Amino acid sequence: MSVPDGIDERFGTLVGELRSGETAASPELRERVRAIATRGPEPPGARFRSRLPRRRAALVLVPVCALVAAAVGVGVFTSGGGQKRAVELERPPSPRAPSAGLFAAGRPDVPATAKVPASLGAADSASLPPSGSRHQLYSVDLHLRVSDLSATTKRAIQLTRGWGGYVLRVDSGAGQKAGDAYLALRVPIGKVQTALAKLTALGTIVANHVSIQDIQGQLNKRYGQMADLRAQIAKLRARLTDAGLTDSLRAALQAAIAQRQASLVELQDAQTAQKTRASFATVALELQTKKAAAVAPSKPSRIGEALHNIGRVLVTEAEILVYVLLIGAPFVIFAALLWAARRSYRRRREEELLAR
Amino acid sequence: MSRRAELDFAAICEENLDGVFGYLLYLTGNRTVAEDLTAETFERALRRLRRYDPRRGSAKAWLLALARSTALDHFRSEQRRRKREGTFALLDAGAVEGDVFGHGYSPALEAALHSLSAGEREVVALRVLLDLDGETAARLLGITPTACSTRLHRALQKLEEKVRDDVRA
Repeated sequence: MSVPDGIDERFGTLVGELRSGETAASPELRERVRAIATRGPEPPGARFRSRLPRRRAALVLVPVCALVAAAVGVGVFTSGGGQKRAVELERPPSPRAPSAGLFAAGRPDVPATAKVPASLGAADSASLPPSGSRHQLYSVDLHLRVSDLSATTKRAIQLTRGWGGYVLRVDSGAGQKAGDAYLALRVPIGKVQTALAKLTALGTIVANHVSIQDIQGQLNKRYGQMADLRAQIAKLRARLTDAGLTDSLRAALQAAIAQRQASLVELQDAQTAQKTRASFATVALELQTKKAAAVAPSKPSRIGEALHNIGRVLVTEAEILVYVLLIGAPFVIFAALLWAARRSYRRRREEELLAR
Repeated sequence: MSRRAELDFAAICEENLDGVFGYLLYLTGNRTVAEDLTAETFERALRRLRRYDPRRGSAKAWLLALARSTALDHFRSEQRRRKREGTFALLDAGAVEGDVFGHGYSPALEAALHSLSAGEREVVALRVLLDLDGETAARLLGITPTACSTRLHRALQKLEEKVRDDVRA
Protein backbone atom coordinates (compact mmCIF):
# COMPACT_ATOMS: atom_id res chain seq x y z
CA MET A 1 0.00 0.00 0.00
CA SER A 2 1.36 3.42 -0.93
CA VAL A 3 2.04 6.16 1.57
CA PRO A 4 0.12 9.42 0.87
CA ASP A 5 2.16 12.46 -0.10
CA GLY A 6 3.70 14.31 2.80
CA ILE A 7 3.68 11.27 5.12
CA ASP A 8 6.97 9.84 6.26
CA GLU A 9 7.79 6.57 4.47
CA ARG A 10 8.79 4.87 7.72
CA PHE A 11 5.13 4.89 8.76
CA GLY A 12 4.31 2.81 5.69
CA THR A 13 3.36 -0.35 7.61
CA LEU A 14 1.24 1.57 10.09
CA VAL A 15 -0.52 3.48 7.34
CA GLY A 16 -1.17 0.21 5.52
CA GLU A 17 -2.66 -1.34 8.62
CA LEU A 18 -4.84 1.71 9.31
CA ARG A 19 -6.16 1.65 5.79
CA SER A 20 -6.83 -2.07 5.85
CA GLY A 21 -9.40 -1.67 8.62
CA GLU A 22 -13.05 -1.72 7.68
CA THR A 23 -14.66 1.59 8.67
CA ALA A 24 -17.70 1.32 6.46
CA ALA A 25 -21.05 2.53 7.73
CA SER A 26 -23.47 -0.11 8.92
CA PRO A 27 -26.49 -0.96 6.71
CA GLU A 28 -28.76 0.67 9.32
CA LEU A 29 -26.86 3.94 9.11
CA ARG A 30 -26.88 3.75 5.31
CA GLU A 31 -30.66 3.42 5.39
CA ARG A 32 -30.96 6.37 7.78
CA VAL A 33 -28.87 8.58 5.52
CA ARG A 34 -30.77 7.46 2.43
CA ALA A 35 -33.98 8.40 4.14
CA ILE A 36 -32.56 11.85 4.90
CA ALA A 37 -31.43 12.29 1.30
CA THR A 38 -34.83 11.45 -0.13
CA ARG A 39 -36.93 13.71 2.06
CA GLY A 40 -36.29 17.29 1.34
CA PRO A 41 -37.37 20.34 3.29
CA GLU A 42 -35.62 22.47 0.71
CA PRO A 43 -37.78 24.79 -1.37
CA PRO A 44 -38.07 24.04 -5.10
CA GLY A 45 -35.15 25.08 -7.24
CA ALA A 46 -32.52 24.49 -4.59
CA ARG A 47 -29.38 23.34 -6.35
CA PHE A 48 -25.74 22.98 -5.52
CA ARG A 49 -25.05 26.59 -5.99
CA SER A 50 -24.39 29.28 -3.51
CA ARG A 51 -26.24 32.53 -3.59
CA LEU A 52 -23.51 34.11 -1.57
CA PRO A 53 -21.55 35.61 -4.49
CA ARG A 54 -24.80 37.04 -5.85
CA ARG A 55 -25.63 38.43 -2.42
CA ARG A 56 -22.19 39.93 -2.13
CA ALA A 57 -22.57 41.57 -5.51
CA ALA A 58 -26.01 42.85 -4.51
CA LEU A 59 -24.52 44.26 -1.31
CA VAL A 60 -22.32 46.55 -3.39
CA LEU A 61 -24.48 47.06 -6.46
CA VAL A 62 -27.76 47.96 -4.75
CA PRO A 63 -26.40 50.94 -2.75
CA VAL A 64 -24.36 52.13 -5.75
CA CYS A 65 -27.43 51.94 -8.02
CA ALA A 66 -29.52 53.73 -5.38
CA LEU A 67 -26.97 56.55 -5.11
CA VAL A 68 -26.69 56.92 -8.88
CA ALA A 69 -30.49 56.82 -9.25
CA ALA A 70 -30.84 59.50 -6.58
CA ALA A 71 -28.27 61.65 -8.36
CA VAL A 72 -30.00 61.18 -11.72
CA GLY A 73 -33.40 61.88 -10.18
CA VAL A 74 -32.25 65.07 -8.49
CA GLY A 75 -30.30 66.12 -11.59
CA VAL A 76 -33.22 65.64 -13.97
CA PHE A 77 -35.89 67.12 -11.71
CA THR A 78 -33.84 70.21 -10.94
CA SER A 79 -32.78 70.82 -14.54
CA GLY A 80 -36.10 72.30 -15.67
CA GLY A 81 -35.23 75.87 -14.76
CA GLY A 82 -32.55 76.49 -17.40
CA GLN A 83 -34.37 79.43 -18.93
CA LYS A 84 -35.22 80.91 -15.57
CA ARG A 85 -31.64 80.69 -14.40
CA ALA A 86 -30.35 82.46 -17.46
CA VAL A 87 -32.78 85.28 -16.84
CA GLU A 88 -31.72 85.55 -13.23
CA LEU A 89 -28.08 85.70 -14.23
CA GLU A 90 -28.76 88.56 -16.58
CA ARG A 91 -30.06 90.69 -13.78
CA PRO A 92 -27.49 92.89 -12.05
CA PRO A 93 -26.21 91.16 -8.92
CA SER A 94 -27.36 92.50 -5.61
CA PRO A 95 -24.84 94.22 -3.36
CA ARG A 96 -22.68 91.78 -1.44
CA ALA A 97 -23.37 90.71 2.08
CA PRO A 98 -20.05 92.05 3.48
CA SER A 99 -21.09 95.59 2.74
CA ALA A 100 -24.27 95.21 4.71
CA GLY A 101 -22.43 93.63 7.62
CA LEU A 102 -19.75 96.26 7.54
CA PHE A 103 -22.11 99.17 7.65
CA ALA A 104 -24.52 97.61 10.08
CA ALA A 105 -21.81 97.25 12.72
CA GLY A 106 -21.89 99.90 15.34
CA ARG A 107 -25.09 101.48 14.06
CA PRO A 108 -27.78 101.13 16.64
CA ASP A 109 -29.99 103.67 14.96
CA VAL A 110 -31.80 102.96 11.76
CA PRO A 111 -29.84 104.78 9.09
CA ALA A 112 -31.26 106.93 6.39
CA THR A 113 -30.60 104.94 3.22
CA ALA A 114 -31.07 105.61 -0.44
CA LYS A 115 -30.70 103.26 -3.36
CA VAL A 116 -29.55 105.17 -6.38
CA PRO A 117 -30.59 103.56 -9.67
CA ALA A 118 -27.78 102.12 -11.76
CA SER A 119 -28.70 104.34 -14.62
CA LEU A 120 -27.78 107.41 -12.61
CA GLY A 121 -24.20 108.58 -12.70
CA ALA A 122 -21.69 110.06 -10.28
CA ALA A 123 -23.45 113.38 -10.26
CA ASP A 124 -26.62 111.71 -8.99
CA SER A 125 -24.69 110.03 -6.21
CA ALA A 126 -23.53 113.45 -5.17
CA SER A 127 -27.16 114.45 -4.65
CA LEU A 128 -26.84 112.90 -1.20
CA PRO A 129 -23.87 114.87 0.14
CA PRO A 130 -22.75 114.59 3.75
CA SER A 131 -23.86 117.41 6.00
CA GLY A 132 -21.23 120.03 6.54
CA SER A 133 -22.53 121.08 9.98
CA ARG A 134 -23.59 117.77 11.55
CA HIS A 135 -21.71 114.57 12.30
CA GLN A 136 -22.91 111.65 10.22
CA LEU A 137 -21.91 108.06 9.53
CA TYR A 138 -21.74 108.04 5.76
CA SER A 139 -21.39 104.83 3.77
CA VAL A 140 -21.72 103.95 0.13
CA ASP A 141 -22.05 100.56 -1.65
CA LEU A 142 -20.80 100.92 -5.18
CA HIS A 143 -20.96 98.08 -7.70
CA LEU A 144 -19.02 98.75 -10.88
CA ARG A 145 -18.38 96.81 -14.05
CA VAL A 146 -14.79 97.37 -15.17
CA SER A 147 -12.57 96.23 -18.02
CA ASP A 148 -9.33 95.54 -16.11
CA LEU A 149 -9.88 94.31 -12.60
CA SER A 150 -6.30 94.48 -11.39
CA ALA A 151 -5.61 97.98 -12.73
CA THR A 152 -8.90 99.33 -11.39
CA THR A 153 -8.29 97.84 -7.96
CA LYS A 154 -4.83 99.43 -7.83
CA ARG A 155 -6.18 102.75 -9.04
CA ALA A 156 -8.96 102.76 -6.41
CA ILE A 157 -6.45 102.12 -3.64
CA GLN A 158 -4.12 104.78 -5.02
CA LEU A 159 -6.92 107.34 -5.17
CA THR A 160 -8.07 106.57 -1.63
CA ARG A 161 -4.58 107.07 -0.24
CA GLY A 162 -4.28 110.29 -2.25
CA TRP A 163 -7.37 111.72 -0.48
CA GLY A 164 -5.85 110.90 2.88
CA GLY A 165 -8.00 107.81 3.34
CA TYR A 166 -7.05 104.20 3.85
CA VAL A 167 -8.03 100.70 2.76
CA LEU A 168 -10.04 98.74 5.31
CA ARG A 169 -10.22 95.51 3.34
CA VAL A 170 -9.32 94.16 -0.08
CA ASP A 171 -10.62 90.89 -1.46
CA SER A 172 -9.14 90.37 -4.90
CA GLY A 173 -7.04 87.79 -6.75
CA ALA A 174 -3.48 89.04 -7.28
CA GLY A 175 -2.90 90.23 -10.86
CA GLN A 176 -6.22 88.93 -12.16
CA LYS A 177 -7.57 90.91 -15.08
CA ALA A 178 -10.96 89.24 -15.03
CA GLY A 179 -13.25 88.19 -12.21
CA ASP A 180 -14.44 90.23 -9.27
CA ALA A 181 -12.97 92.12 -6.36
CA TYR A 182 -14.24 93.72 -3.20
CA LEU A 183 -12.70 96.77 -1.51
CA ALA A 184 -13.73 98.51 1.69
CA LEU A 185 -12.31 102.04 1.64
CA ARG A 186 -12.31 104.78 4.27
CA VAL A 187 -12.36 108.26 2.73
CA PRO A 188 -12.25 111.57 4.67
CA ILE A 189 -15.80 112.90 4.85
CA GLY A 190 -14.79 116.15 3.21
CA LYS A 191 -13.52 114.29 0.18
CA VAL A 192 -16.37 111.84 -0.22
CA GLN A 193 -18.05 113.68 -3.09
CA THR A 194 -14.83 113.83 -5.03
CA ALA A 195 -14.13 110.20 -4.18
CA LEU A 196 -17.51 109.03 -5.46
CA ALA A 197 -17.11 111.01 -8.65
CA LYS A 198 -13.64 109.56 -9.27
CA LEU A 199 -14.48 106.01 -8.26
CA THR A 200 -17.63 105.81 -10.36
CA ALA A 201 -15.56 107.00 -13.30
CA LEU A 202 -13.45 103.85 -13.03
CA GLY A 203 -16.20 101.75 -14.62
CA THR A 204 -19.88 101.42 -15.34
CA ILE A 205 -22.19 101.63 -12.35
CA VAL A 206 -24.20 98.46 -11.85
CA ALA A 207 -25.63 99.39 -8.46
CA ASN A 208 -25.17 102.22 -6.00
CA HIS A 209 -26.41 102.46 -2.44
CA VAL A 210 -25.84 105.36 -0.07
CA SER A 211 -26.45 105.12 3.67
CA ILE A 212 -26.36 108.12 6.02
CA GLN A 213 -26.82 107.92 9.77
CA ASP A 214 -26.94 111.12 11.77
CA ILE A 215 -25.07 110.81 15.09
CA GLN A 216 -25.12 114.45 16.09
CA GLY A 217 -27.86 113.72 18.63
CA GLN A 218 -25.74 111.06 20.33
CA LEU A 219 -22.74 113.41 20.41
CA ASN A 220 -24.80 116.26 21.89
CA LYS A 221 -26.21 113.97 24.55
CA ARG A 222 -22.72 112.88 25.46
CA TYR A 223 -21.57 116.54 25.57
CA GLY A 224 -24.33 117.18 28.09
CA GLN A 225 -23.28 114.22 30.24
CA MET A 226 -19.67 115.43 30.15
CA ALA A 227 -20.72 118.98 31.20
CA ASP A 228 -22.71 117.54 34.11
CA LEU A 229 -19.75 115.52 35.28
CA ARG A 230 -17.45 118.52 35.06
CA ALA A 231 -19.89 120.59 37.14
CA GLN A 232 -20.14 117.82 39.75
CA ILE A 233 -16.35 117.55 39.94
CA ALA A 234 -16.04 121.36 40.41
CA LYS A 235 -18.60 121.27 43.24
CA LEU A 236 -16.86 118.40 44.96
CA ARG A 237 -13.50 120.12 44.69
CA ALA A 238 -15.00 123.28 46.21
CA ARG A 239 -16.25 121.23 49.16
CA LEU A 240 -12.78 119.81 49.61
CA THR A 241 -11.40 123.32 50.37
CA ASP A 242 -13.47 123.39 53.57
CA ALA A 243 -10.96 123.15 56.46
CA GLY A 244 -13.51 121.70 58.86
CA LEU A 245 -13.92 118.40 56.98
CA THR A 246 -13.27 115.18 58.83
CA ASP A 247 -10.72 112.78 57.36
CA SER A 248 -13.34 110.22 56.45
CA LEU A 249 -15.53 112.78 54.67
CA ARG A 250 -12.50 114.13 52.82
CA ALA A 251 -11.61 110.61 51.69
CA ALA A 252 -15.20 110.03 50.51
CA LEU A 253 -15.18 113.26 48.53
CA GLN A 254 -11.87 112.42 46.93
CA ALA A 255 -13.20 108.98 45.94
CA ALA A 256 -16.31 110.56 44.39
CA ILE A 257 -14.15 112.99 42.41
CA ALA A 258 -11.96 110.12 41.14
CA GLN A 259 -15.00 108.14 40.08
CA ARG A 260 -16.50 111.07 38.16
CA GLN A 261 -13.18 111.82 36.53
CA ALA A 262 -12.92 108.23 35.32
CA SER A 263 -16.45 108.44 33.88
CA LEU A 264 -15.56 111.73 32.22
CA VAL A 265 -12.46 110.22 30.59
CA GLU A 266 -14.54 107.32 29.37
CA LEU A 267 -17.11 109.63 27.81
CA GLN A 268 -14.40 111.77 26.23
CA ASP A 269 -12.79 108.67 24.65
CA ALA A 270 -16.15 107.50 23.27
CA GLN A 271 -16.86 110.95 21.92
CA THR A 272 -13.49 111.18 20.21
CA ALA A 273 -13.86 107.67 18.73
CA GLN A 274 -17.30 108.42 17.33
CA LYS A 275 -16.20 111.74 15.88
CA THR A 276 -13.20 110.05 14.28
CA ARG A 277 -15.46 107.41 12.86
CA ALA A 278 -17.78 110.04 11.46
CA SER A 279 -14.86 111.93 9.95
CA PHE A 280 -14.42 109.15 7.39
CA ALA A 281 -16.98 107.78 4.96
CA THR A 282 -16.94 104.04 4.18
CA VAL A 283 -17.06 103.13 0.53
CA ALA A 284 -17.73 99.44 -0.24
CA LEU A 285 -16.54 99.04 -3.77
CA GLU A 286 -17.47 95.90 -5.68
CA LEU A 287 -15.73 95.46 -9.00
CA GLN A 288 -16.67 92.98 -11.69
CA THR A 289 -15.21 92.54 -15.15
CA LYS A 290 -17.36 92.60 -18.26
CA LYS A 291 -16.27 89.09 -19.20
CA ALA A 292 -17.47 87.58 -15.93
CA ALA A 293 -20.77 89.40 -16.31
CA ALA A 294 -21.09 88.27 -19.90
CA VAL A 295 -20.61 84.60 -19.05
CA ALA A 296 -23.76 84.48 -16.98
CA PRO A 297 -26.36 84.73 -19.74
CA SER A 298 -25.18 81.59 -21.56
CA LYS A 299 -28.14 79.26 -21.50
CA PRO A 300 -27.17 75.67 -20.71
CA SER A 301 -29.25 73.01 -22.38
CA ARG A 302 -31.54 70.93 -20.23
CA ILE A 303 -29.39 67.83 -20.73
CA GLY A 304 -26.24 69.76 -19.95
CA GLU A 305 -27.76 71.15 -16.81
CA ALA A 306 -29.07 67.74 -15.80
CA LEU A 307 -25.59 66.25 -16.26
CA HIS A 308 -24.10 69.09 -14.26
CA ASN A 309 -26.60 68.51 -11.45
CA ILE A 310 -26.00 64.75 -11.51
CA GLY A 311 -22.28 65.36 -11.22
CA ARG A 312 -22.84 67.77 -8.35
CA VAL A 313 -25.06 65.30 -6.48
CA LEU A 314 -22.59 62.46 -7.09
CA VAL A 315 -19.75 64.57 -5.69
CA THR A 316 -21.86 65.35 -2.64
CA GLU A 317 -22.68 61.67 -2.21
CA ALA A 318 -19.00 60.78 -2.51
CA GLU A 319 -18.17 63.36 0.14
CA ILE A 320 -20.81 61.92 2.45
CA LEU A 321 -19.51 58.42 1.77
CA VAL A 322 -15.94 59.42 2.60
CA TYR A 323 -17.20 61.10 5.73
CA VAL A 324 -19.16 58.01 6.76
CA LEU A 325 -16.13 55.80 6.06
CA LEU A 326 -13.89 58.03 8.13
CA ILE A 327 -16.34 58.01 11.00
CA GLY A 328 -17.15 54.30 10.65
CA ALA A 329 -13.61 53.00 10.15
CA PRO A 330 -12.73 52.79 13.87
CA PHE A 331 -15.93 50.87 14.54
CA VAL A 332 -15.24 48.48 11.66
CA ILE A 333 -11.69 47.92 12.92
CA PHE A 334 -12.99 47.34 16.42
CA ALA A 335 -15.58 44.86 15.13
CA ALA A 336 -12.89 43.07 13.10
CA LEU A 337 -10.67 42.82 16.17
CA LEU A 338 -13.57 41.48 18.21
CA TRP A 339 -14.33 38.96 15.50
CA ALA A 340 -10.67 37.86 15.32
CA ALA A 341 -10.47 37.54 19.11
CA ARG A 342 -13.67 35.53 19.21
CA ARG A 343 -12.44 33.29 16.42
CA SER A 344 -9.12 32.75 18.15
CA TYR A 345 -10.86 31.93 21.44
CA ARG A 346 -13.21 29.53 19.71
CA ARG A 347 -10.33 27.78 17.97
CA ARG A 348 -8.46 27.41 21.25
CA ARG A 349 -11.54 25.92 22.86
CA GLU A 350 -11.88 23.49 19.98
CA GLU A 351 -8.24 22.47 20.35
CA GLU A 352 -8.83 21.87 24.05
CA LEU A 353 -11.88 19.75 23.29
CA LEU A 354 -10.02 17.66 20.74
CA ALA A 355 -6.95 17.28 22.95
CA ARG A 356 -8.90 14.95 25.24
CA MET B 1 -36.56 19.89 -3.74
CA SER B 2 -36.28 19.19 -7.43
CA ARG B 3 -35.78 15.66 -8.63
CA ARG B 4 -32.38 16.53 -10.02
CA ALA B 5 -31.14 18.11 -6.80
CA GLU B 6 -32.57 15.21 -4.86
CA LEU B 7 -30.68 12.75 -7.02
CA ASP B 8 -27.49 14.76 -6.77
CA PHE B 9 -27.70 14.97 -3.02
CA ALA B 10 -28.49 11.27 -2.73
CA ALA B 11 -25.45 10.49 -4.86
CA ILE B 12 -23.25 12.73 -2.72
CA CYS B 13 -24.52 11.02 0.43
CA GLU B 14 -23.91 7.57 -0.99
CA GLU B 15 -20.45 8.48 -2.19
CA ASN B 16 -19.27 10.10 1.04
CA LEU B 17 -21.11 8.19 3.73
CA ASP B 18 -18.24 5.80 4.57
CA GLY B 19 -15.73 8.65 4.63
CA VAL B 20 -17.82 10.83 6.90
CA PHE B 21 -18.61 7.93 9.18
CA GLY B 22 -14.94 6.84 9.35
CA TYR B 23 -13.87 10.35 10.17
CA LEU B 24 -16.44 10.70 12.94
CA LEU B 25 -15.56 7.27 14.24
CA TYR B 26 -11.94 8.28 14.60
CA LEU B 27 -12.89 11.61 16.08
CA THR B 28 -15.26 10.28 18.72
CA GLY B 29 -13.87 6.80 19.27
CA ASN B 30 -17.39 5.55 19.68
CA ARG B 31 -19.32 3.72 16.99
CA THR B 32 -22.79 4.61 18.27
CA VAL B 33 -21.97 8.26 18.70
CA ALA B 34 -20.28 8.30 15.28
CA GLU B 35 -23.42 6.85 13.66
CA ASP B 36 -25.65 9.45 15.30
CA LEU B 37 -23.32 12.26 14.34
CA THR B 38 -23.10 10.95 10.77
CA ALA B 39 -26.88 11.07 10.43
CA GLU B 40 -26.91 14.54 11.96
CA THR B 41 -24.19 15.68 9.57
CA PHE B 42 -26.27 14.66 6.56
CA GLU B 43 -29.31 16.33 8.07
CA ARG B 44 -27.32 19.54 8.32
CA ALA B 45 -25.99 19.05 4.83
CA LEU B 46 -29.52 18.82 3.49
CA ARG B 47 -30.55 21.97 5.35
CA ARG B 48 -27.51 23.89 4.12
CA LEU B 49 -27.43 22.47 0.63
CA ARG B 50 -28.08 25.88 -0.92
CA ARG B 51 -24.96 27.25 0.70
CA TYR B 52 -22.71 24.66 -0.88
CA ASP B 53 -20.52 26.04 -3.65
CA PRO B 54 -18.56 23.44 -5.67
CA ARG B 55 -16.10 26.16 -6.69
CA ARG B 56 -14.97 26.51 -3.09
CA GLY B 57 -14.17 22.85 -2.52
CA SER B 58 -15.27 19.28 -3.08
CA ALA B 59 -18.48 17.85 -1.63
CA LYS B 60 -16.34 15.56 0.49
CA ALA B 61 -14.48 18.50 2.10
CA TRP B 62 -17.77 20.31 2.67
CA LEU B 63 -19.36 17.30 4.33
CA LEU B 64 -16.28 16.71 6.48
CA ALA B 65 -16.35 20.35 7.61
CA LEU B 66 -20.01 19.89 8.57
CA ALA B 67 -19.13 16.62 10.32
CA ARG B 68 -16.39 18.37 12.27
CA SER B 69 -18.69 21.14 13.38
CA THR B 70 -21.36 18.59 14.36
CA ALA B 71 -18.80 16.61 16.36
CA LEU B 72 -17.50 19.75 18.09
CA ASP B 73 -21.06 20.71 19.04
CA HIS B 74 -21.49 17.21 20.42
CA PHE B 75 -18.24 17.45 22.42
CA ARG B 76 -19.30 20.80 23.82
CA SER B 77 -22.69 19.54 24.91
CA GLU B 78 -21.06 16.42 26.39
CA GLN B 79 -18.64 18.59 28.29
CA ARG B 80 -21.48 20.70 29.66
CA ARG B 81 -23.42 17.57 30.57
CA ARG B 82 -20.40 16.04 32.28
CA LYS B 83 -19.83 19.21 34.24
CA ARG B 84 -23.47 19.25 35.24
CA GLU B 85 -23.74 15.60 36.16
CA GLY B 86 -20.16 15.04 37.27
CA THR B 87 -19.98 11.88 35.22
CA PHE B 88 -17.75 10.82 32.38
CA ALA B 89 -20.17 9.08 30.15
CA LEU B 90 -18.29 9.73 26.97
CA LEU B 91 -14.98 8.55 28.37
CA ASP B 92 -16.64 5.43 29.72
CA ALA B 93 -18.35 4.84 26.44
CA GLY B 94 -15.06 5.31 24.62
CA ALA B 95 -13.46 2.58 26.69
CA VAL B 96 -15.61 -0.13 25.10
CA GLU B 97 -13.70 -3.24 24.26
CA GLY B 98 -13.66 -4.71 20.76
CA ASP B 99 -13.51 -3.37 17.18
CA VAL B 100 -14.33 0.27 17.55
CA PHE B 101 -12.26 2.03 14.90
CA GLY B 102 -12.32 -0.62 12.25
CA HIS B 103 -12.94 -4.28 11.72
CA GLY B 104 -9.68 -6.06 11.14
CA TYR B 105 -7.49 -3.85 13.31
CA SER B 106 -5.14 -5.60 15.70
CA PRO B 107 -6.00 -5.17 19.38
CA ALA B 108 -2.72 -3.30 19.79
CA LEU B 109 -3.69 -0.79 17.08
CA GLU B 110 -7.17 -0.42 18.56
CA ALA B 111 -5.72 0.31 21.96
CA ALA B 112 -3.14 2.67 20.49
CA LEU B 113 -5.85 4.57 18.62
CA HIS B 114 -7.80 4.84 21.87
CA SER B 115 -4.80 6.32 23.58
CA LEU B 116 -4.58 9.16 21.06
CA SER B 117 -6.46 12.38 21.59
CA ALA B 118 -9.46 13.19 19.39
CA GLY B 119 -7.43 15.81 17.59
CA GLU B 120 -4.65 13.34 16.81
CA ARG B 121 -7.09 10.71 15.59
CA GLU B 122 -8.80 13.35 13.50
CA VAL B 123 -5.71 14.22 11.49
CA VAL B 124 -4.93 10.52 11.00
CA ALA B 125 -8.46 9.97 9.73
CA LEU B 126 -8.30 12.86 7.29
CA ARG B 127 -4.85 12.22 5.87
CA VAL B 128 -4.57 8.42 6.07
CA LEU B 129 -8.05 7.01 6.11
CA LEU B 130 -9.73 9.51 3.79
CA ASP B 131 -6.56 10.29 1.86
CA LEU B 132 -7.19 14.05 1.79
CA ASP B 133 -4.30 16.15 0.57
CA GLY B 134 -2.42 18.24 3.12
CA GLU B 135 -3.91 21.54 2.04
CA THR B 136 -7.56 20.41 2.18
CA ALA B 137 -7.04 18.72 5.54
CA ALA B 138 -5.32 21.83 6.91
CA ARG B 139 -8.16 24.09 5.69
CA LEU B 140 -10.67 21.79 7.35
CA LEU B 141 -8.79 21.85 10.63
CA GLY B 142 -8.27 25.60 10.44
CA ILE B 143 -4.49 25.32 10.61
CA THR B 144 -1.59 25.74 8.17
CA PRO B 145 -0.49 22.79 5.96
CA THR B 146 2.82 22.69 7.85
CA ALA B 147 1.05 22.49 11.21
CA CYS B 148 -1.19 19.77 9.78
CA SER B 149 1.83 17.79 8.57
CA THR B 150 3.54 18.14 11.95
CA ARG B 151 0.41 17.09 13.79
CA LEU B 152 0.07 14.01 11.58
CA HIS B 153 3.71 13.06 12.03
CA ARG B 154 3.44 13.29 15.80
CA ALA B 155 0.19 11.32 15.84
CA LEU B 156 1.62 8.52 13.71
CA GLN B 157 4.80 8.42 15.78
CA LYS B 158 2.80 8.18 18.97
CA LEU B 159 0.61 5.53 17.45
CA GLU B 160 3.58 3.49 16.33
CA GLU B 161 5.25 3.73 19.72
CA LYS B 162 2.08 2.64 21.47
CA VAL B 163 1.62 -0.30 19.13
CA ARG B 164 5.26 -1.32 19.60
CA ASP B 165 5.01 -1.01 23.38
CA ASP B 166 1.82 -3.00 23.41
CA VAL B 167 3.29 -5.77 21.27
CA ARG B 168 6.36 -5.91 23.51
CA ALA B 169 4.18 -6.04 26.60
